Order: sequence, then C-alpha cells, then structure tokens
Amino acid sequence: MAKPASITSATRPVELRSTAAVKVALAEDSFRHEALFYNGEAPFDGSLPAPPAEHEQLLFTRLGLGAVRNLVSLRASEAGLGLDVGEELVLAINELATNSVQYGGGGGALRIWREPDAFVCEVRDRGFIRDPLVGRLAPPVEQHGGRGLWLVNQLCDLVQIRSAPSGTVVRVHTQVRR
Amino acid sequence: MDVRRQRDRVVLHLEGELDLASSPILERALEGAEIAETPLLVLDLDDLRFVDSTGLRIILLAHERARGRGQEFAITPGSSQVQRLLSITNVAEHMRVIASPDDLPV
Repeated sequence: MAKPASITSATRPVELRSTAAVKVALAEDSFRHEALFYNGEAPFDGSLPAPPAEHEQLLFTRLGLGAVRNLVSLRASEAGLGLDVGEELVLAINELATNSVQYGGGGGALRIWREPDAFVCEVRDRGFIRDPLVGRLAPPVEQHGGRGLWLVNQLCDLVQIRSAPSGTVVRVHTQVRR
Repeated sequence: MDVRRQRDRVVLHLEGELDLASSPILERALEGAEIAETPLLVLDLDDLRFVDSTGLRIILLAHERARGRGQEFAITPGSSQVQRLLSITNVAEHMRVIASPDDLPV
C-alpha cells in the first residue's frame, strides 16, 4: 500500500520532487527506504522560476573556486547575514561549485540575487543527477568522498535541485531576518 | 605548508585554504618518506582559514594511512570554519585533537 513519503532524518525543510521515485517503507521502530532507479528517469526533472533580471553571475572553473567563495562571502555580508551563516553558505556554495568542476563538465555558473526575505545563490553546470536520494544520507565517517551535497543539505535553509541530461541547477535560499 | 620533523613526531603545518585546487599538494606531501618515520603525525590546522569536503577527504586519508602503519595521528583544533566542518561531519570525535602541535596526544 502506498504511504505518504516521510523522511524523518531531515532536520531542515526538505523539498521532495518526484516522490514516486522514492519508496519509503515505514517499519515499526525503524524505517528503511529503497531508491528505485528507473532507466533514464530524471528524479529532479523540471525547472525553477527564472532568476530576477538583476542577478549577478560568475562563471568558474577549478581555479575560480576561491573567487566563488570570496563573492558569496562578500554578498552574504552585504545582505546582512551573520558571520556564521555567511561562513556556512560559503562552504555550501563551494561544495556545489566543486561538484560542478568534478562532475559537471569542469565548471559552471554561480548566480546570486536578493528576494524580499531571502538571499539566493544557485550553481548551474552540465552534470546530470540520477540518484533520487543524492545528499540525503549521512556518509559514514570512514567514507572519504561523496559529502558535498549532504553538507549542503545540512548547512542551508532550503535546497532545490533540478537536473536533466542537459544540465543541473541547485538553488539555495537563505532566510534574511529583517 | 611546511613539514617540521621533531624527535617523536612530524608536524605538517597547513596554511590558507584547503580545497579541490590545493588538496593535491597536501596529498603529495603525505606521500613523502619522512612522514612515516616518526611515532606521531600531527596535522596542524590552526592557520587553515578554510577547508571543504575535498580537504576533509585528504585529512581522513592521512588519518587512515597513519593508523594503518601503526603511527599515532593527531590534529590541532583549527579555525571556527574548520571546527564547524569537522563537527558537522562527525569527524572531530573520531580523531585525537591536541591543543598545540607540540602537545602530547591524550
């Protein structure tokens, strides 16, 4: 019987897309999940609202990761985000940009803009995410790699992923308290 | 980054930012023969301004290799950014943290 999808381990707001691709089975005290990988399915298919015209864009490759961090740090500070929040956002966007360099065609585009109550950053690249649970499972301590998107989910208020064979965009919203 | 050899330990002092671009430098340094010759290997993180998951991967690798050859391994606490990453990822509690690179590991 189909049950409503529920992921209890998430501590931050989670946006679930294409929940049909993720079957969550709840047992009495524990829960297990099965990720179903369909041939050619894109679990994060779809698009996001276009950024406002006045967004800022920075193209980057491996050598531009420092520039990505510097720009996020500067704009986060200008937006009035606290030092800790800014530092976490710098790490999160750095992880996304690093993924772009490693798995998204060698680089990507960072876009930044303000919304009435949020500071928004997004990273676009040419990669394609097929794993519907990407970034949702805590990697064991002895695991060396594969932490990037998991960290982003730990660090950010809202993370939206859209991915198709033509490319991936990850948009991160940070609440601005006024 | 500099490598300091003392009687009982090798201290790798890291500075700046440890990311995808700079991690290979640390990875190569960890392959140096002198790294393995002392009872203790210390990664001094106190002057590291930034570390990400790529840098963390190399720190975990250093830890695993040291333990694999029977060498003690320790890190210094690092900046607030470094401490936050080690804490979120649960790595700090799996490593010996010493207050300064010359301290004895507890």
